Amino acid sequence: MKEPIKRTINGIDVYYIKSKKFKTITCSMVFTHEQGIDLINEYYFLSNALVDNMKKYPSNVLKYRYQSSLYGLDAFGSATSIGNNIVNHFVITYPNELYLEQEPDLSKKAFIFLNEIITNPSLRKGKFTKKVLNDNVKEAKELHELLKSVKDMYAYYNFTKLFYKDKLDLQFNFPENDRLSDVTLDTFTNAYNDMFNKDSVSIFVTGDIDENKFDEIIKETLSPRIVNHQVKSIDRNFSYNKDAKPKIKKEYDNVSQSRIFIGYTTNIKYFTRDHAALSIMNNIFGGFDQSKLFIEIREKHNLSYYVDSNYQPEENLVTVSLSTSKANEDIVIQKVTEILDEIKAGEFSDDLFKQAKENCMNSLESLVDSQSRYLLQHIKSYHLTGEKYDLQHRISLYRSITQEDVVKAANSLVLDTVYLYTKRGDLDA
Amino acid sequence: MHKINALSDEYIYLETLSSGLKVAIHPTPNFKKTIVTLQVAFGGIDVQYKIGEKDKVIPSGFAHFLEHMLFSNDGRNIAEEFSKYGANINAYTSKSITNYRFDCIDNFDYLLDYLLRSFISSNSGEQSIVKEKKIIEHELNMSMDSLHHKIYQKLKRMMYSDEAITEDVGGTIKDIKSIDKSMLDEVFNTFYHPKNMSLIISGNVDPLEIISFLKAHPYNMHHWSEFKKITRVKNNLPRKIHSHKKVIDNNNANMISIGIKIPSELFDIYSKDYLHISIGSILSNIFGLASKNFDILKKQNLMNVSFSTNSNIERDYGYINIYMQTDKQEKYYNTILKMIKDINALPLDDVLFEIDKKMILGNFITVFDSLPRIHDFISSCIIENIDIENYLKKVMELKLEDLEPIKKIFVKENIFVVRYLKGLK
Repeated sequence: MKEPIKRTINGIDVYYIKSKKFKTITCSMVFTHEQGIDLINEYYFLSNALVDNMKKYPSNVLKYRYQSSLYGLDAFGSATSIGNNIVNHFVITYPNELYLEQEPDLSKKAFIFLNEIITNPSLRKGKFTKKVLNDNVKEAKELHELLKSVKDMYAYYNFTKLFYKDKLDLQFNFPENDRLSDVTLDTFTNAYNDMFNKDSVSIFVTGDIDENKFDEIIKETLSPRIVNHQVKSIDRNFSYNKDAKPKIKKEYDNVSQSRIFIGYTTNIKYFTRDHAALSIMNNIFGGFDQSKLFIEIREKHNLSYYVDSNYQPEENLVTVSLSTSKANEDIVIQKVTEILDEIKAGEFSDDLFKQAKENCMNSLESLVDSQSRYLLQHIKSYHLTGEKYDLQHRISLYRSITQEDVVKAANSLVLDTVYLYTKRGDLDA
Repeated sequence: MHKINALSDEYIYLETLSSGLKVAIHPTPNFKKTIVTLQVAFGGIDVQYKIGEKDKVIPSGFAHFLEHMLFSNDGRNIAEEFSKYGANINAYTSKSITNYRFDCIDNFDYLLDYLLRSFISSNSGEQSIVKEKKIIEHELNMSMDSLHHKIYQKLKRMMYSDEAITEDVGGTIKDIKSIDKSMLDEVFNTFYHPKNMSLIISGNVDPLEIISFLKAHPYNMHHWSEFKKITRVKNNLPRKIHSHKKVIDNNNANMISIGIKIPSELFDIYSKDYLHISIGSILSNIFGLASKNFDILKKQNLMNVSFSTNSNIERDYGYINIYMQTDKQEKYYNTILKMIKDINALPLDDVLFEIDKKMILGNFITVFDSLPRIHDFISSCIIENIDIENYLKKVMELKLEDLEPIKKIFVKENIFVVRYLKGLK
């Protein structure tokens, strides 16, 4: 994939990421809000309501038949956080017209459709209708109910609630279920109007494209309502206290295997060299099938079917997830602690370090095999650093990491949360 | 070597080696990763079979257990070796197949060589057998915690009497405990024969080089015993049980799962690709996002994000599953059942049928953007003998009237329903 080409059209930054190997074109319009966590549900609802509530295509039959006629054009909206800003993405993906006969205007039709999603929802007297709001609240509640029926996911959800209990200004659960009823027609509609009056906007296009042709499409069809505003980037400032007392909680359900989540905080920041060191450390810890957790807990002691660790750099969080029988809960938690202590003391083999480093570098190198993953890295990087995502620089950072760097990164971890989802039984009597 | 054109600039090379191993190579020179799959026509349904006149019965979950065991075959540690060379290897077992897959950026030749050498013979260590039994027990216990798994199992038991179909792919803990080394070696020799296996490679590779490498490889040169045809023994006697079942349990969710059994005779009449294409086309026409029924269900507040439809077409049986989690059980149940029964009685939506073809064409092009997805597609086509070259052509040439015989499966005797309702036991 080539380096992004930056253009400015109608005051909006447009980034073209060209690649001949992909047969689809993805176009993403990104709205960054300055308003933060208070409107998390409004922004979450916008991501669905705009895609599902188009004035021009008032029923599923009309909308999806039109999308099918555009060769199965896929359209979706999402709300995420980048730094402490909330961002709404509206994304379309469709097959490149190069592979279709007699469809020279597919990109133009697709871009007009994206504009329609964003600028022309069905409103009454300038506001979303009660039905649209109620449908969104209902869907959020249904999703929560669905979550409860999948025990692993529900246990993880409960873990995150506990983890963020003392970090409420940093909790980005989309949606925030406890505050669904706070959304009113006014707050919802105001959040929508702010997209045009306050938000910063950028456009990303990837695929085997002619940027000049796209310039023309955007100039010709971009709604004049979509205007770029300056929005201050807000960093996520995690409190970090090495002496903090961990939060421990047990919840009960009728489960055959206990699910355990252990969360550690770190003060290592995203996109730094230490971030690379902590990624490698996480790989050594529980990131693959030769990691210390996997070998010790599953292979050597057969205490678990799955055990792994996961580093979420945007959350300054490393999480260990595992399942075990109720009788082995304490043994397993003790083993996780011992294994982390070993890494903190530098007790891991040269081979394991080499493999973990190679895994991380391979994962980075293969980013260019996925348009969506590569695109997302660029969007994050432009937002957080103002610069393009420099893949080669990232790979060279990983290459430079030493075992001492890994030990230092491991020592940044502080136990924050232990959550057990388990059954009642004799051991607790 | 046979070269087929899957899409304008996408080619797949097919070859059958002298050992009988089928090979498909899809060169994707611009992708960083290479993915390799070695698949065996041996799955959860293979518990009772005939070889010639000899009847064989093996414990449930055998294919899955053997898949675990082969990671440590002959004292090797495949996962460790692949990690050492920067690759990821994994495996899964379904009802019809066992599949070993690795992906890598470098060291492809070495890894392919190592993989094939690991499947020439079987020699399981006693210690490994004990260890894997414990791990699989954890795995089976975990699946018992899933409500979705429970309802799905119940539905299968209503549709089929054959335990090979209804039992979990992983088997039962009791059956797994009964497996020993001699059984493992014997079953390996029966099913892990190159004539019962295929190799699929997608990535930045040269097909000619790979084929000459494979031809000379010890796996291909090995003196394989004669492959004897394996015929699965079906025990699918008609069931005398209810086709509708309500279960009131201490769930925290109301779930409804509908199964539509595909009559076994259709597997003798139609090819797998035809069944996939025609059933997919009907489901999209009746319950797809652009269907009239989807709008009706939505307008009546009977639709939510948990709604799903899918067709499970295995080696010699299959069914359609329509699932939803909803508190409006009664109304949804009556509405959806009427819609299903109407499929056979009413004409399909001809406008949607034609528009869907554009969507399928677009989706087919899109699949090539993802190496894992196109690799999966090719792997399925190889094991199911699907003609990749003409797959799209078949979809485009399908006529509405071609679907009439398939519509006939949507009748009362093929429809089964399980409803899980909230409540206390």
